[in-house]
Amino acid sequence: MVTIDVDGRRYQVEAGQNLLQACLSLGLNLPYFCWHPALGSVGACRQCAVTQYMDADDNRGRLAMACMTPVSDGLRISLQNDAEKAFRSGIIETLMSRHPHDCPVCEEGGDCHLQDMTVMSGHHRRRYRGAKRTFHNQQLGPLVRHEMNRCITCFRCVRFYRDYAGGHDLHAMGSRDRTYFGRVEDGNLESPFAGNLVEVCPTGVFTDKPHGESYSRKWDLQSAPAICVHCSLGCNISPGARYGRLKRVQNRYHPDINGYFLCDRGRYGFRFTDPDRRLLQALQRTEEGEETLSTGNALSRLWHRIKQADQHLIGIGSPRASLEANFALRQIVGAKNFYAGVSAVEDEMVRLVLQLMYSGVRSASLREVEQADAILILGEDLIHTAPRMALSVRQAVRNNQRRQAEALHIPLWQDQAVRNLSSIALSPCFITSSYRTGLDEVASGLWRNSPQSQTLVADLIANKINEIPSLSKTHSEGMQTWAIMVADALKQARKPLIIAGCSTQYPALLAAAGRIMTALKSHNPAARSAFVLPECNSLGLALLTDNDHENRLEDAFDAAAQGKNHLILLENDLYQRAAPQQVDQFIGQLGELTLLDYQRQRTFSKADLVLPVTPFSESGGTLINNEGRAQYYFAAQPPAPGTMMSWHWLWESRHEARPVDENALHLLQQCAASDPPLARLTELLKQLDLSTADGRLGYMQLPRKSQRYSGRTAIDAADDVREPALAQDAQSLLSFDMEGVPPTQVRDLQLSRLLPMSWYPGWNSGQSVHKFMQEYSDGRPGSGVLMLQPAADHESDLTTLQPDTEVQQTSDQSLTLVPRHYLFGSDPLSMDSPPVASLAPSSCLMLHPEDAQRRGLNPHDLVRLESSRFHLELPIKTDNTLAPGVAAIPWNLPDQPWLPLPQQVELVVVQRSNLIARDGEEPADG
Amino acid sequence: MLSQLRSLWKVFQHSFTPPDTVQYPEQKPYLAPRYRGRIVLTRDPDGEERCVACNLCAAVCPVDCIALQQGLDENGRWQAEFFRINFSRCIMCGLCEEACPTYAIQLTPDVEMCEYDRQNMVYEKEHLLIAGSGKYPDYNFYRVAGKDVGVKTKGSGDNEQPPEDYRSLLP
Ligand code: SF4
Ligand code: SF4
Ligand code: SF4
Ligand code: SF4
Ligand code: FES
Repeated sequence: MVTIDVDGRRYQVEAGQNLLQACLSLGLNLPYFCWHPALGSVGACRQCAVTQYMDADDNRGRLAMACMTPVSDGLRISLQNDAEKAFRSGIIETLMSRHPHDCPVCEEGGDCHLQDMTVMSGHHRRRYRGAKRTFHNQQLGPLVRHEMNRCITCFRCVRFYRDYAGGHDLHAMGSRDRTYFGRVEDGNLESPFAGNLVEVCPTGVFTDKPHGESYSRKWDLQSAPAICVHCSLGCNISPGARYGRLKRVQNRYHPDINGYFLCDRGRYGFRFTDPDRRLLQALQRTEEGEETLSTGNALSRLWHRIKQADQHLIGIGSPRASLEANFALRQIVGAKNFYAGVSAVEDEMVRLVLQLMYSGVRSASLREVEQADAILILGEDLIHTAPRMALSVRQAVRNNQRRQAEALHIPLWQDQAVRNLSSIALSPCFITSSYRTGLDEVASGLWRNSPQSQTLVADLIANKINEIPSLSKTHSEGMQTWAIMVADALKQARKPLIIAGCSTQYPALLAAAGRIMTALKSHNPAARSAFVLPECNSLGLALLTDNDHENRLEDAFDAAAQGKNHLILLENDLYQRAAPQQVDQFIGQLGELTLLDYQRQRTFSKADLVLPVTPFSESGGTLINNEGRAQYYFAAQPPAPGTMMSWHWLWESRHEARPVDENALHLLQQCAASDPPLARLTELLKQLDLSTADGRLGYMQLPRKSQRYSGRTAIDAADDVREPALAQDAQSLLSFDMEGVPPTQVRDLQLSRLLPMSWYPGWNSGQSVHKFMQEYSDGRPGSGVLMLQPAADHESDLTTLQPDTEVQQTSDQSLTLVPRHYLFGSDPLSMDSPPVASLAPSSCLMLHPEDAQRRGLNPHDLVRLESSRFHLELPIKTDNTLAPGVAAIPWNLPDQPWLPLPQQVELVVVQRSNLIARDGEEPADG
Repeated sequence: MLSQLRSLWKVFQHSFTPPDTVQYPEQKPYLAPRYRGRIVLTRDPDGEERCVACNLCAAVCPVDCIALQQGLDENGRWQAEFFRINFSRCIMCGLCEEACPTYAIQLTPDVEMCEYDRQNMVYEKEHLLIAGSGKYPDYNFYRVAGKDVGVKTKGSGDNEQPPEDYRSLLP
């Protein structure tokens, strides 16, 4: 802590930061553009000028850029004297001199840092009379719109896109006042984090393209603190809704998880919640046909079914449904009859992760991932399976540089200076995978081979670290040296990190990763592991089914065969979980299939009673992320007419006609009480309980609408000129109102992390987030609760899981078929969102060109995959980033059947492509 | 005493002044062109809708009686997909007109808006849109703005330089 003097007042601030950051965290208003908390300072815009004085007697001082000035004890500055104010308004006037007259038709307007800073600096009339500079724009794909005229040359975009996120296709081009930020030519932005440009750019150069097609101003959005549902990391988001649908998703700061950035799947995947894409009507299907039901009718049918089925009732839960929904279903059908709605292999792998977490392998938050100084990634293509984690790994590999910078006394916020240490090698990062991953370019070592081989090398690494007996005696020399190199790096590191997960569908690899983790843990207590799970609540579902009953999906199939044939299926598509024949047979055995879902997925057409439920945007609930952190998410808008939250349908049907007075929090309470592994939910409840918060809130709720929400008396007037009553959310910390706790009090009440969206008087854009920074400690509302406490008596025996030796024998002709994950494609929810679907790959079989050549195959030939378990016809695509002997198939595309992978397959040509490839040239697609 | 008598006398005098009241509706009083009555949406000199769906009128409206949704035409021009004013709430304050950056929304001297059914006071875009440009005949926002939405090409608007060639490295 150091003391600084600002305009005659003394403040205590954290040492080691720059003056701008210090002033902002004190709540002082100091305009700036080029500084960003995650990107550091470059001193490019000159907007943050202050006057710095030599000592107490100095009364002239000199101008200094706050973002480039380190705080030091006794530093004396002024923000409000004429000299620095005149300088700052001069800067903004020049920046604005040729700014286009666009605000009314600019998607940034009302959410614009440039607008805020202009107002803050007091510039309001253009004196410049010359002509304005213009630029042509570029087409940057379906996600981001480009309007170059609005640029103020702060360089934040390229600093984020290239330096922070490792993108290659966005450049600063040209010279002097022609500097242009764009691609060499039109085309989709390649980085999976391109959407962050929308928030990083302080002006309207990069804006959210899908939002711009049906745009609403920030002040017109009704927002909520929510959790992203598109992967297992649980990034915090702020979805904004208007006119009954979500309009956009923006980042919501969480220091331990997503920080300031989201991935593009999370930002653009939400359109599956659009009312026109969803189930909104309860229906019953009989022999005679389809019949729509009113909510009351649907409820009593459900009640009847539950009553009648009695002993024959089973329920299948879902890893994408909230803890509450799964718990409610389990209560209805009984724990014995509640089955995990995931494939057998996925179930096995998630349980393995749980076992590892219980036995004391500490799982890392993304913030901890960023601190690692040696990383081993086993079988995960993070960009596609846990995208935000990939961004954290990219930061972690620079830790060597940072350490060097610290040794040279360069402050870390001096971004360019630290990056100039580029001769320093990156921190070690090793990746095993069957194909090129998005992080290969920052890796110091790659093991690109089949999953079996990856398992063997992982096992050998564990052996090299701690003499754990190795599974196999015969290792190639290459494998030996690679394993020794990795083991040494991990042993030398201060904070080594192992990342593994479920995307390979290969439990033996995860078990081998577990062996490394256990070995490393005894070697270095600071060692961490991070797991990638398949879906947003995979861990929650596993914890709910964590008992001795047989409750895998296969067991449900058996139960049906034995006559338990009344199924309630919760937010799940069985065709995504098991082979189609198996599911068909199962459904054939069922007497009744009740489906609660919002998506028109494949199982929907087979259900005979369909109850429309709400997606995340209209529900509250709890999800447990990959770290074991339970986080509660709030609805951005009330349920669409005719729909209810899943647990609400189930709960209400229990009481038949009686109205439900319970809310989701009561459900959580019961869940915490009945399930020892979930006992820590009580901590989460404390964070959410209005009655304990009451004293702090003064009986106010946090409003979901902004203070300037417009159109209140006109929105519904077309249907009925009388205004409807406001939707109530009585038990919750949040209301659907415009009034309540003002943003100026949020920080004092320690509710920063529950803010529906970031806004502060004078700070309309997302940059207002610094107004809500506070010393966060776990336990504050909105921080989430870590659920898993390692237990001493949990010893996991990981040596039993061996690589599949049967699969290992590769005949000359057979290939190992592995699943390949896609950021846009492998998540069925976001595939219902047009911007994401438009970027997804089509179904194909990827082969190494040599493998194709050896079999006389050409790209686009149609082949049949033959294995002991399935047949499938697919066109070929050659890809030289695949390991030889490995074939890959895009995982989990909506139109593709579920496949048991990895699997040995043979290829049979069905049809030759008539697109003849000339030497070394790939025929164009289509 | 004297002042009371004077007051009585004044009142008495008023019995002989000609009345201000006119026989409405047969006779109509004069309302200035800037009088604040029924709201219209106007068109620009090219005959296109002026409103760019910027939402500023809705934001400024003290009774929140304007609701609209932006949409894009094939050239990327911002337009209101729907535009609704609930006149049963409107207080004819004119703030929307003042906030409008395009002169699209204007108040007119028409005040005869009585209805038996309150629902009829809800006006949609087709009821609000007129054929002409109202009080500001010459202004076309998209000639002044930087965006190219089919009204002018980049660099050919009012007070604009031709587009820069960012491939040039000349000083
Ligand atoms: S970038 Fe900001 S200041 Fe510029 S036109 Fe857009 S809203 Fe206005
Ligand atoms: S495009 Fe945006 S972020 Fe990039 S330099 Fe211009 S204003 Fe800054
Ligand atoms: S005149 Fe006033 S009350 Fe009526 S719509 Fe305009 S701003 Fe609203
Ligand atoms: S302020 Fe003018 S341009 Fe903007 S939405 Fe209202 S009428 Fe349309
Ligand atoms: S923020 Fe300090 S110079 Fe740009």
